[in-house]
Amino acid sequence: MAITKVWIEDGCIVCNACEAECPDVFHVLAETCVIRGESRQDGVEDTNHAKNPLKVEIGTSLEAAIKAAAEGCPVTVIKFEAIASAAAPAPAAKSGEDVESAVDHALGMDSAPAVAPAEDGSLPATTGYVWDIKAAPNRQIVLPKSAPLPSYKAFVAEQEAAKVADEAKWQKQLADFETAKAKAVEEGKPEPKAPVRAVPAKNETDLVFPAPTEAQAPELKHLMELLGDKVEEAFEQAGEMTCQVKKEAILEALRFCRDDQALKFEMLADETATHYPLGQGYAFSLVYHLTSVSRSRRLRLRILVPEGFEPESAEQVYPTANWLEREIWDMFGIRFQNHTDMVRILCPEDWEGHALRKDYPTLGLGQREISFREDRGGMLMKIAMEAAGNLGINLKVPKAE
Amino acid sequence: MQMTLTQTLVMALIQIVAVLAFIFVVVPMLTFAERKVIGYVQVRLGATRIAGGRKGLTGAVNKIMWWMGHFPVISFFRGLPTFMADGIKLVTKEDIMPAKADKFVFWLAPILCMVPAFAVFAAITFYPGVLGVFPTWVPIVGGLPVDGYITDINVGLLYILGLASVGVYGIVLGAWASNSKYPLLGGLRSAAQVISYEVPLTLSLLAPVILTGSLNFKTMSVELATGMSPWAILPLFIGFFAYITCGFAETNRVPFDLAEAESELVSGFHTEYTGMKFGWFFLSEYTNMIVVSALASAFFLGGHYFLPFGFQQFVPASWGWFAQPHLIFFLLKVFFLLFVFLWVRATLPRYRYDQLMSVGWKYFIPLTLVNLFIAGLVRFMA
Amino acid sequence: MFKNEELEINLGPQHPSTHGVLRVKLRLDGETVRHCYPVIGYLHRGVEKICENKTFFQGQVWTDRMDYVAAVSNNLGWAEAIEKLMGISVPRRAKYIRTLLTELNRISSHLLWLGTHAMDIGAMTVFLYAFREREEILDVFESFCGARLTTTAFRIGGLRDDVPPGFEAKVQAFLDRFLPCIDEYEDLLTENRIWKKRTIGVAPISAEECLAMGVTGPVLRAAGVPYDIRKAFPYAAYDEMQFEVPTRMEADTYARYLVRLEEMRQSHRIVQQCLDGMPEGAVMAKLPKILKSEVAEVYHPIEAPKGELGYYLVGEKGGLNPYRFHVRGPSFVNLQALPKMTEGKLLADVIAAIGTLDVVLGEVDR
Repeated sequence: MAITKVWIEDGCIVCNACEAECPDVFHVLAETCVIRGESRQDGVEDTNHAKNPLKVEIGTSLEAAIKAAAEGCPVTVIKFEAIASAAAPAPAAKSGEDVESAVDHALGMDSAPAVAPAEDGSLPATTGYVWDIKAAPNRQIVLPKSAPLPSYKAFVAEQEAAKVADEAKWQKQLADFETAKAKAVEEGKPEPKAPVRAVPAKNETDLVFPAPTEAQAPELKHLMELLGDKVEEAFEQAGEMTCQVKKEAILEALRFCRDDQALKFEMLADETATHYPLGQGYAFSLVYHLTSVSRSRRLRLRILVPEGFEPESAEQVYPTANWLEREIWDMFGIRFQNHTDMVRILCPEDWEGHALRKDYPTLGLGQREISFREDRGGMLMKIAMEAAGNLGINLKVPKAE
Repeated sequence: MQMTLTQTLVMALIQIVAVLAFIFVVVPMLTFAERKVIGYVQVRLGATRIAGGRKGLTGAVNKIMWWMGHFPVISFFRGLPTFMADGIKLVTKEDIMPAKADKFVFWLAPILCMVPAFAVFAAITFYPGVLGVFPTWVPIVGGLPVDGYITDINVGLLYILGLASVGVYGIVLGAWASNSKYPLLGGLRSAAQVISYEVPLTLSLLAPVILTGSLNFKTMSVELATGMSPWAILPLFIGFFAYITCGFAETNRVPFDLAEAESELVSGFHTEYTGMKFGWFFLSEYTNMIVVSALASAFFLGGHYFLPFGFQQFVPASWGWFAQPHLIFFLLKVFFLLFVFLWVRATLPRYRYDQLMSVGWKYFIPLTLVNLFIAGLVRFMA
Repeated sequence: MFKNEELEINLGPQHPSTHGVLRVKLRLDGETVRHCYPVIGYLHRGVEKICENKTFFQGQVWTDRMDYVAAVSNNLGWAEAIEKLMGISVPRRAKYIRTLLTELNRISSHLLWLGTHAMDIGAMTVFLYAFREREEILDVFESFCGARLTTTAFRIGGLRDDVPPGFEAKVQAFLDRFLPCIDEYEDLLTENRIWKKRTIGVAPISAEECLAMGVTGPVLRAAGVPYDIRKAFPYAAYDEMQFEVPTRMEADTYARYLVRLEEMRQSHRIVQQCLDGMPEGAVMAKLPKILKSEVAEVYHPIEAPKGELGYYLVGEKGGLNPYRFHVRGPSFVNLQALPKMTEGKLLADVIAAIGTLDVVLGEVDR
C-alpha cells in the first residue's frame, strides 16, 4: 500500500493534531491546514482540493503517519487515496493477530476509502469484491460464460458466421460422401446414400425471436444526424429503439433528446447498468430509457463503460437520475461525475462490495460481520461463552458458596 | 338540622366515594362503548372476546360470550369483560422510564393530569336537591339527607375552569420530562391548543353566567333550564355549539387530537409512558370528556330538566314527571354527549396544526364574543 | 439568549404512517419542515440478484413480493417482459383474463391506498369500508389462483389454467355492488370540510416537476398530464378496451384523491368489458418444454396502480435465467419527489404526502 494523494476538505478546525502526527506533510496555518509543498510533486502548498499527487517516496514511507493523521482528525476532513503496491503479498498468517489482518485484507476492509485508478484507466484488483475461500468457505461465485450485449452488428456477424459454418459443414459432408463413394466403387460395395442438406426445423411454437433490425425510426435517424460520429450503433429490436453513443457524449445526447423539438423525450423513465465481466474493452453497459410523453415514443440510450470510468451524471438533465444513479453506484460500483449526493441508497454505507456485479457471491453466510455497539442483553457474552465452551475453556466465574 | 363535624365529614366521604365509583365505572364503560360504537359505525363487531386461551378463566369467559352471541340484544354486550381486562393489563404492565428522563417530573405529570380532572367533580351538581335520606339504622349518618352534589361552591364555575386548566401542565411536563422528540412536539402542540381554546371555551361559558348573574353551578343550571326569557334560547344555542367544539379541542379528541396524532407523532405526549402512568393520562382524558359533557348538559341542555336550551319553561306543570328535575335526565344527556364524542371520532379526519389555530382564533373567539354580546343584550332587556 | 435551533427527527423506520419501513429524516423549525431526506433500503432483499439466478418461471414468485398490494400487476409486467424478450404471442382469451385480473388488482390497490391515506389524515372509518370491498376482490383472486395476496397469477405465454366455474358470476356480483360503494366513500370524504382543508393545496407538484422527477401514475395525471401507459403503449388487451384517463389540473392531494376514485370507476368499466367480451379459446401459447433466451434486451413498462412499472431484461444466448433483471418501481421513483412536495410545509403535510404518493416499501427497496 502507498498513498498517492492527500487533500484537506473544507471544515478544518485548526487543531494541530495532524501536524503533530505527521509534520512532513501537514502544516497548520491560521485558518486551515495545508499540504506542504516539499511533499508534493507540483510543489504548491495549499489544501490540495485539486488532488495533485504526493511524492512517491513520501507516500510510501509516511503512509502510516498520514493514515494516523486522517484517522485522528476530529472533523475527518483529511482525505487520501491509496494504491495497492503491485507486488504486495497478502500478509502471511503466523500469529492469531496476523490471521485476523489477513482476513481483513482479503475482505478489503483495511483498504483506503477511495482507490486511485491506474494509468490505463482500469482499477487495481482491490475494487472488486475479493473473495477469500479461507475467510468464507461457503461463498460461491458463478461467473457468466459470455457477454450478451445485444447489438445489430454482432447479430449480423453471428448470422454470417453461422451461414459460413453451415456452408462449410455441407461442403465437408459432400466431400466425405465423394470419398466414401470412391472408396465404395473401389471395393465394389454398394454406393452410400447421397447426403441431404439439413433444413432448419419448422417452428411449431408461438415463439419468434425478435431479431435486431437496422435503424428505421425517424427518431433514431434524427439523433444520428445530430450526434454524428458520436453514435456507435443504432438499431431496433422487439419494437424498441436503441442508440449506443460514446461514453463521453452521453450528456450531450441526453440534452439533445430532451430539448430537440423532433425528439422531445421529456422523461427519463429508467437508468440502470449491466455488468459484463467478459466484455471486450468494457465492463458495464449503462442504459437510459427515455420516454416522450407528448409523442408516446420510447428510446434507449446506451453507453459502454470500462471499470473505473466515471460517466457524467444524467442528473444535470433529468433530476430523477439522482436516485437511479445512487442505486447504480450501490449495486455496481459505478461512480458518476457531478452527482450531488453520491452515496449508497439501498445497502448500508459500510457495505462491502456491489451486489449486482456478476463476481459478487450469491451463496454463503458471513458476508458481514455484525458488531453490536454495546452488549445488549448479554448476547455477545453468551456467544463468547459458547465459543469458549466448544474449545473446552470455562469462562464462567465460579460463584461464591 | 345541624350536622356535627363527624357527620359532615362522613357524609362528604360517602359522596366522594360515590362520585369516584361513578367515574371508575363510567370511564371503563366508555372505553367499551368506544370499541362497540366505533365498531358498529365501521361495519364490524367491535370487541367480542378477550385475550387468552380456551382454558382457564379467560376460556370460560370467552365461552360465555360465545354463547351470548346467539341472542340478538345480549350479543352486543359480548365484549364487556374487556374493560376489566384493560384495567388489569394497565396495572400489571411493566413501568418503563426512558434512561435520561427527568424522573420526578415524569412521575409527577400523570398525577398533575389526573388530580384536577377528578377534583372538578366536587363542584358539579348531579341533582339540585336531596337525592334521598339514609335509613335511621345506619351508624353516624342515619336519618340524614344526601345532597345531589358534594359541595355547593359559590364560585363553582370559576373553580371548575381554574382546575381544568391545570391539567395541561401535566401534558406539557410529561412531554418535556420524557426527553424524547415526538412527545415534545406533542406537548408543544397540546400547550398551544389548550391555551388558545381555553379563551373561546370560557367566553362561551360566560354567556350563561351573564344570563343568570351567578357562578354557582346549582343556581345556574336550575335558572338556565327554567327561569330564562324566550330570547335567551338563541345565545344558549350558539353557546352550546361553540362550547362543545372547544370542549373537543380541550379534551384532545378527534378532530382536534393533534397532541396525540397517531399517524404523525406516534402517540404524542404519552409515547414514552407505559403501564399505569399511561393509564392515568388515559383516565384523565376520559374523565375530562365526562366533565365537558356534564357542563354542556348542565348549562346548555337543560341540566336536570327534560328539555334543552331553556325550552323547559314552556313545559306545563300538567306534564307531571317530565316537568320535574330528575337525575336520570342529567345522566342521559351526559351519556348522549359522550356518545357524540365517539361518533365524531369515527367520522371526521383530523385538523392540521395551523388550521386548528386559525379555527380557534379567527372563528370561535369572534363567535363567542358576539354570543356574549347577545347574552348581555338579553339580560339587559329582561 | 434564544437560539434558533432546528429539531431533527426521524420519521420512521418504525412509525405508524410510513407504510412500512420508510425513514424520513426531517429538520423541523417548529412545525415547519426545513429539510426532508428519505432514507430507504430497510426492506432490501436483492430481488434483482435473486431473479438473475432463478429460471424465468421461478422469478415471477419474487415479483409478487415487490409491490405486495398489487401483485397481479407485477406478475403481468414480468410475464409480458419475458414474452417480449422471447417473442411469444399470447392467446387472446389469456390477454382478456389478464386484463380483468389486473384491473381488479388496481381497484384493490386503490382501495388500500384510500383506506390508509384517510387513516393517516385521521378518518379511520373509510379504512374499514375500503377493506370490506377489497376482501371480495381478494376472494376473486383466491378462486382464480388459490392465493390472495402473493398471487403468481400468470405463466409465461398465458395462463396455467382457465378460469374456474362460477368465476364470471362472482366477478359480476362484485361489479354490481361496487359502484355504490365508491359513492359511499365519496359521501364520507369528498365534501368533508376537514378532509378538503387537509388535502386541497397540500403537497403540490407541478407537471414539469413531475416529468423531471420521473413521477408517473395518478400523481402525474392529477397534475394534468394524461399519460397512461394503457393508452400510450397498449399492452395486454387494453387496445380493445374503452376507457378514459381521468386527469385534474390542481396537482394537489385532493386532486390525486379524485383521480384515483375516478380510476376505480374506469377500472370497473374495463372489468365489465372484459367479462362481456370474453373470447373463447386456449389460454396458453405453444411453447417449447424449456424456455431459452437469445441475446436481446427489452424494457417493458406497464401501468401499475402506482405508476410506470418497468421491467428491464437482458437475455443470454441459451440462458435459462435472465442475464440482467431490473425493476423500475414506480414507488421508488415517485418517492424521490417527497422532499420537493414537503419542504417548507408542515409536519402533518409530510404524512399526507407520503400517503398521497402511495408508496409500497417492498417495491421501493426491492
